[in-house]
Amino acid sequence: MVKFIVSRLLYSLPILFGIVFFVVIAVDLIPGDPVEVILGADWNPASARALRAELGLDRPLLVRYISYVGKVAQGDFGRSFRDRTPVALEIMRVWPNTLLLTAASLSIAVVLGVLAGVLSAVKRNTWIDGFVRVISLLGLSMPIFWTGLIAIWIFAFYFRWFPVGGIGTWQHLVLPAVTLAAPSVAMVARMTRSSMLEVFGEDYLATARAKGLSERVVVFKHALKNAFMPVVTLIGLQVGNLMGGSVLTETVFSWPGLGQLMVRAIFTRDVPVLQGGVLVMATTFVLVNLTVDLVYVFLDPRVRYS
Amino acid sequence: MRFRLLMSATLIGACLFAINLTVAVAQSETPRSGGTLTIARGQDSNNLDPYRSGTDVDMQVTGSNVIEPLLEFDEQLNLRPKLAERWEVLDATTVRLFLRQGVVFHDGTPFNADAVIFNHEHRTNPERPGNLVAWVAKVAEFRKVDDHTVDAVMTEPFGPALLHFALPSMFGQVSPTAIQQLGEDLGRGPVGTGPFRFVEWRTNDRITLERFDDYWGEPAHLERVVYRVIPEASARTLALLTGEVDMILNPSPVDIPSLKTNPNVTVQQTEGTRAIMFMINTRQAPTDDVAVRRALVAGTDRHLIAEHVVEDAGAPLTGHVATGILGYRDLSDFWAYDPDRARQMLDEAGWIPGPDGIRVKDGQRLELDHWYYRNLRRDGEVSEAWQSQMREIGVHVNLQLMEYGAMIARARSGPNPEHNVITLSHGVPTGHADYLYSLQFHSDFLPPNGFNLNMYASAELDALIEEAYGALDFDEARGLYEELAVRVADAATWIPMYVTMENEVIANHVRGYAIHRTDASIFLWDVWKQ
Repeated sequence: MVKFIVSRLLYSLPILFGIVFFVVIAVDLIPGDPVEVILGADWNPASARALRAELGLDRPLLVRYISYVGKVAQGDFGRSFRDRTPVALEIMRVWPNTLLLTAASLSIAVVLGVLAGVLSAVKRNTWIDGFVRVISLLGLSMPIFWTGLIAIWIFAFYFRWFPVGGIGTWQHLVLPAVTLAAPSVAMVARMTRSSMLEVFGEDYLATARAKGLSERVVVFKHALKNAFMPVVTLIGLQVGNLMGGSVLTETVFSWPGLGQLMVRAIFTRDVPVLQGGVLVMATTFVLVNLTVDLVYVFLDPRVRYS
Repeated sequence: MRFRLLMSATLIGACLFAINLTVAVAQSETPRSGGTLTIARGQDSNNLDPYRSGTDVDMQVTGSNVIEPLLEFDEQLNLRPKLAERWEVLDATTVRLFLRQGVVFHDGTPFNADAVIFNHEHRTNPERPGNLVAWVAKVAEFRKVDDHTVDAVMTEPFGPALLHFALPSMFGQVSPTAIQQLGEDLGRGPVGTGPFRFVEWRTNDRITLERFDDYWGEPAHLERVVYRVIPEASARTLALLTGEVDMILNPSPVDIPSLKTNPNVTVQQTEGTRAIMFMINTRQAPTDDVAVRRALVAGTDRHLIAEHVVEDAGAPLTGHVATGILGYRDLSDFWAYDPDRARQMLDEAGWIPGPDGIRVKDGQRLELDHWYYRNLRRDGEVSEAWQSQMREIGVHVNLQLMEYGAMIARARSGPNPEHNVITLSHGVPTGHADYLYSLQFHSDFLPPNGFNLNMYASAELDALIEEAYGALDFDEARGLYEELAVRVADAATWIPMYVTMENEVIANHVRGYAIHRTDASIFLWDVWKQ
């Protein structure tokens, strides 16, 4: 098992290199020059040349990439073009906030989504089922920035139950986490429902009932556990969605996270911050996927990794 | 008897009412010490070191609150003393500044002539020059006369110099000890002489300042100031209405009409110092023909656009710079909307309307490439409205939407940019028109070196620009700028559009705040909360 984990981690390194390379190229292709943006009204050919050399932008792309990889291997993520702060420091200031928001949203998505899906499956074709499915569709269809603003307007402005935005107390977390979770709740619910329905026809459930087990044990311990694999896969993928969607949620709710930092980095062409941010997000995603694979082992004893 | 009683009662009632009113007025007039003022804005600062960044999002925090310049602009752009108590013009290139005594920086370092000299040397250090150094370096050096007197010696007679002394982004004073100890870290923790000292900066969340009790003047009323980042414009407005914040900067123009009628807040508006215009490339066909350019100007109804597109965010432009700026000249007669005259001029220039209404000459359609961008002020919609106005006079405008940074990079990528018309905004933070004429019309700033995207320059014009900024006597300067303005307007290098309106919305329990004409200055020393 340990061998498996280690080899998976090693395999993820080329993936990360590839992602960083892609980002380096993509940022290079964006029209507009970081030196232009930084100097602004102070732009003149001499200053531009000096700044370009200072930022290392006068070297060819491949050289820049290799140099970056080398530095990262030593833990140096470079310095922001904007204010020369170490990128690692800048990211660590805001990354925990995004993690918190993602974790909170994920928890809501899993708990609410699974419960709703189970309920929907058990009460299939009743009004409860229909209700859950319609709400799911709404959650999937409505854009986050709209639902977010409506949530602020109703719960923060009208009822004054929560603050309009910002960070600090648990009340600040509620609206953004719920808004961000909404589409995921919908997807998890639907996936749970369909997966459960597939499992419902299985013989072992009839056996369990024949043994006299309560319906609750049958549903949760036997049916859900067997139906859960596709749901776990989906949850793993949702983490990516949540991290990406956090950009919109962070903007609407003034939540100071990595998403916002990266959007600003794009507009100001702050290449080191962009690269660092992408690397952090990509690494997280890789680790989450690894965790998902390990959870499979726990769920299904038939799964074995050599 | 009853009448007498009634009269007495009325009289007593009136007295009580008057007393109550007086007390109420007195209460609202006496500044209360303490409290936290929370200001919401859409963007976080980039770098709070005045030598690394002079942009609005940074100056909003530090300008005159944390970092003080040698002189200062009041709300109407008149000069008044700040760290320099008074000044004396000694000759055409020397100004003597008498520095205020008893001033300390937030870290205890005394402010004196040595500090001023140190700041200037640090700023003009060739290895790592500060921003705007091209202007700062017009002051060759500060010569020490005594501990509290310096002579500013300029490289040439330079009229705007005194006005530049009022800009924190050029002559803001930073503690020499902090410069030496903190270096680049000053960007995350500035140390100045202002009424507020920097406390902390949580990225993309908030910046906190607190009252500096050893301030050289009367200490500020407020205990703390917090600048919060709320990127979404409607969320900003809601935060003000729920009381979560006390003040918002740059509200969304969409929200302003409803905020104006809200009894709990006040919308303060003032004409800003930033002009938005379309620069016309005078070297690119078909706009290389002055007759075509004049026709374009005559066919533009900027009043309509200002009223219906820009609305509260701006007012029609009446000169090359905003009113009140030294060198302002009303150019409305050059820019009058007269579509019939426009059509006539184009006819005379040989551009005859084709079957689809677009004019044709020698087989060529009258088509322009217009580079533009979109932003919250609706500059994008301005261009689109203009396109339809041009259609009316038979001109086809190719709208080319670009992201702002990309557009600038492309326009300045080489000596021959290919736009016909390009949207730009030009602020004049110095209060002196040289900041516009030099940057936009001097040959030194033709692309790729600068922003002369009109591609309009000549040795003769250069001489006039230089003479104008060399005039230390402001009346003489005004005369020269009159001549310059007329010359440039006659050549029709611009489609003028609008001047920004600065909008800030303040909750009514905030007192003592007056909006300032530049979009960078938020003066908080005198502000208090009920």
